[in-house]
Amino acid sequence: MMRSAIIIVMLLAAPLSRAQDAASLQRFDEGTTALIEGRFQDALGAFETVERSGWESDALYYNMALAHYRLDNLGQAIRFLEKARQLNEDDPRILHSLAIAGQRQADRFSTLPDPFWLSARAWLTDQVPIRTAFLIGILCWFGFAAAWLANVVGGVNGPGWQRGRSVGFVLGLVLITHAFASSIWPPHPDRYVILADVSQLREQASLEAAEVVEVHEGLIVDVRASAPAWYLVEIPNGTRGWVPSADLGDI
Amino acid sequence: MRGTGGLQVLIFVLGLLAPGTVLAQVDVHASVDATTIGTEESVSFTITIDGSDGSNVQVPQPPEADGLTLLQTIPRTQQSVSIVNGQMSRSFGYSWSYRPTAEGTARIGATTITVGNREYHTQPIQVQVVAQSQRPARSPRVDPFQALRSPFDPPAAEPAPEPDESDLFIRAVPTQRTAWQNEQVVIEYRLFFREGIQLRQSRLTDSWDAEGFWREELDVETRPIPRVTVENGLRYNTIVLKKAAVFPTRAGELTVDPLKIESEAMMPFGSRDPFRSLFAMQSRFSPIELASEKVTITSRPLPQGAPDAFNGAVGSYAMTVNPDKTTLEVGESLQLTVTVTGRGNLATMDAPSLSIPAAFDVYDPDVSTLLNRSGTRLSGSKTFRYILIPRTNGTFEIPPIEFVWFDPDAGRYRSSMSEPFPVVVTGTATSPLSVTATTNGMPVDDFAPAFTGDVSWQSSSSLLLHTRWWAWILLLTPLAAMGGAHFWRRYQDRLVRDPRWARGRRAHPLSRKHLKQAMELLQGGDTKGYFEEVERAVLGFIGNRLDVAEKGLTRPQLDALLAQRDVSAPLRSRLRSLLDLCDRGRFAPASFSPENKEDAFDDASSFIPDLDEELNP
Repeated sequence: MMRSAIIIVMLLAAPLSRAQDAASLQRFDEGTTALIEGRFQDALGAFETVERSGWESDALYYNMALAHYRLDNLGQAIRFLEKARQLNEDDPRILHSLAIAGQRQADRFSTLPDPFWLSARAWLTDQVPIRTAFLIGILCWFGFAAAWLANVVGGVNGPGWQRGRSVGFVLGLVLITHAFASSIWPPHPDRYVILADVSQLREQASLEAAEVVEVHEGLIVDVRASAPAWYLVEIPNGTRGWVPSADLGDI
Repeated sequence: MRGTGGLQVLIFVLGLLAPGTVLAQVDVHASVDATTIGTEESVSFTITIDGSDGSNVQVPQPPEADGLTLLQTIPRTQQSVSIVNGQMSRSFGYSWSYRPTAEGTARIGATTITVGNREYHTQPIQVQVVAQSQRPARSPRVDPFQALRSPFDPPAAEPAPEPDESDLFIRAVPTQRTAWQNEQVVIEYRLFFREGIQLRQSRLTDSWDAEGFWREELDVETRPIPRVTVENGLRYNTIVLKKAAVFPTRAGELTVDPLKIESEAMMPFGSRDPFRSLFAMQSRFSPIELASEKVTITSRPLPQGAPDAFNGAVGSYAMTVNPDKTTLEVGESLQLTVTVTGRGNLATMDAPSLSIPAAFDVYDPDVSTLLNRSGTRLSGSKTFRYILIPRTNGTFEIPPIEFVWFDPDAGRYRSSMSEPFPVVVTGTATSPLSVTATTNGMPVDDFAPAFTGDVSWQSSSSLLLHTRWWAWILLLTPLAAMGGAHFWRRYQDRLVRDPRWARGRRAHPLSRKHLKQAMELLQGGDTKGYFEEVERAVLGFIGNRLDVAEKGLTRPQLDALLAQRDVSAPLRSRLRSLLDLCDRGRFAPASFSPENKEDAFDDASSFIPDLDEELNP
């Protein structure tokens, strides 16, 4: 009885949810129209509605970046361009606009190269994304389990079966380990953007602490630790300092 | 450098043309033309009344003197008028000549002079009288027989007098000796020279330098009119040779080089014979070199805590911001004029930082500087003209523009901030305005156009893999299956390998099966079969649990076996009663009522778990 009730509720909710999604995505078109007409605040309002509804796309983030850029919010523009690049890293429009925004960014820090193991992990993650690795790993894992069950329950065995079980086990273990390790310890640390015009990196998480370096709107930083209302960030040249969380926007 | 007599006459005439000019402040001072004289020389004592034309001055009495004899009681008078920087000044003077009576220290006493209704007192002056042989050939006494000579006689050869440091010098006068970094300091170089000295062919010898300073020349009079001043009791004419505004570019002790000039000077000859003076003129100019002292300025660094918008300006400023329009079309230009006026180093001043909305193209400003060098300080204005071109339509706010400078007088930072103003841009901006594009079609200096058309959407849920429940389910399901299969395999193996264990595992299921069959037989009316199944359930359970062949056991053997397994006597008694009941039921089923029949089922159902519990303490 209960099962039937749940199924009925789901069947009734499905069209309603679809209608809500359609309404949200129509707001994207409204926002794009407003953006082209120069009503940037209106455009942002529409785009933010879509974003809150749980949808994302490179187009949504790019248009949000463009609206922010027109409103002279350089930090937000770079933030949404980076979000767009995460979804579509090869799009020339995104890359071009990122270069233009980067020219306006005031800070010119050298970039500290990553240790080779981080670079290797990042390369591996780029080549074998987490979900792909997990999917293939799970298939191998299930294959190994099926072969194992066939042997245990049905007594199916032989050299071919043994090799299949070994390959399935090793490949599944490697891929699943890679997927979970990359999920728990991402090769790229959390990246944030400085949204305040000027922000001070401080030695401690306090406004009274000594200043380490001054950074400007639009600088992308890596977050290394956090405290209430503060983040410990690392700027491209490796300098670390605490920044109020209000000055940052996540990518 | 020129002789001043002609100019004095000219200015005197100008002064007569403006008799109504009244000078408010009167200053009286006394001076002598030399503080060291020979025994055969005379000294001229002068009382100068600055700020008066002599009309309201009572003729003073000559002061008494020790060691000097007054040569005449009626004073000589002189009057001068000068206009400096548009301001006219007058002075009036009385002079007496004294002659020494002996070597030593002579003294001209104080005297009183009445100007209008007010009395002024002069200070006494000391004069050193030395032997005439110790004095240079200077200002020889007038030859009383000179008038008897023919005017066509050649002049007697006389040595040219040499000016010394007290006759002619340059003094550097800075407005201050300590300044903030980049604060304006004006240094005025004044030439002091005794009356009657004439200069010609003057020129700067070395390039004047001020390392560590930004410097700007200020205007000085091209035809300066000497001003009379008294230094150490001596009366000098002064003119300003040079005036410069210097700005320390760093903190520390900074030095301005001396100002050096070369010139030819002519000392007063002292003769009233025009012909003699005319013939002697050429030989009496002698070359001289003059230099001021160095000027040391202590530059202090600017205090900490400068606002972010501070870009180094020091002085006194004001800023104005003016757009030429606030409504325009897309692509039309807007000129934003930012003007900073005031006193300070305008030449090196940077433009205030602008924060123009990104919808505008902002071009580098056209900068023009207007400096006023004629005042006592360098001042002027600097204008930055920005051209803004909107790329797109909309209403934009030009945010406030802030200009911050350090006020050296107040010792703190000040700022001037413009008001924000809206700019309304009309027209259509369906495409970027850039006329040039990159090779891939992107605008050269702007974002790419907005994304339109088909959009590929996806859920923005950002939960990581290890936080997804289904990932763990997928991961653990094969493990659980393999674990289950493993234990099932072991179970099956033990069932085969360990019959006693297998019978024990089957005891309960079999007893439940027999009891269930017994109940079905009872409901079917088969009383005998019912009691047989109950007995089979109980004895079967005992046989399976103890792994014995229960069918071959007599009741005493069964009781002994249970006693051997530590089964309690009451439970064994219950077993005997139950088996007796089953025997009666099989052989005399008619003696049971329907309720009594079910008692056997209930007894068996409770006996089996009780026995199992005692066998597994």
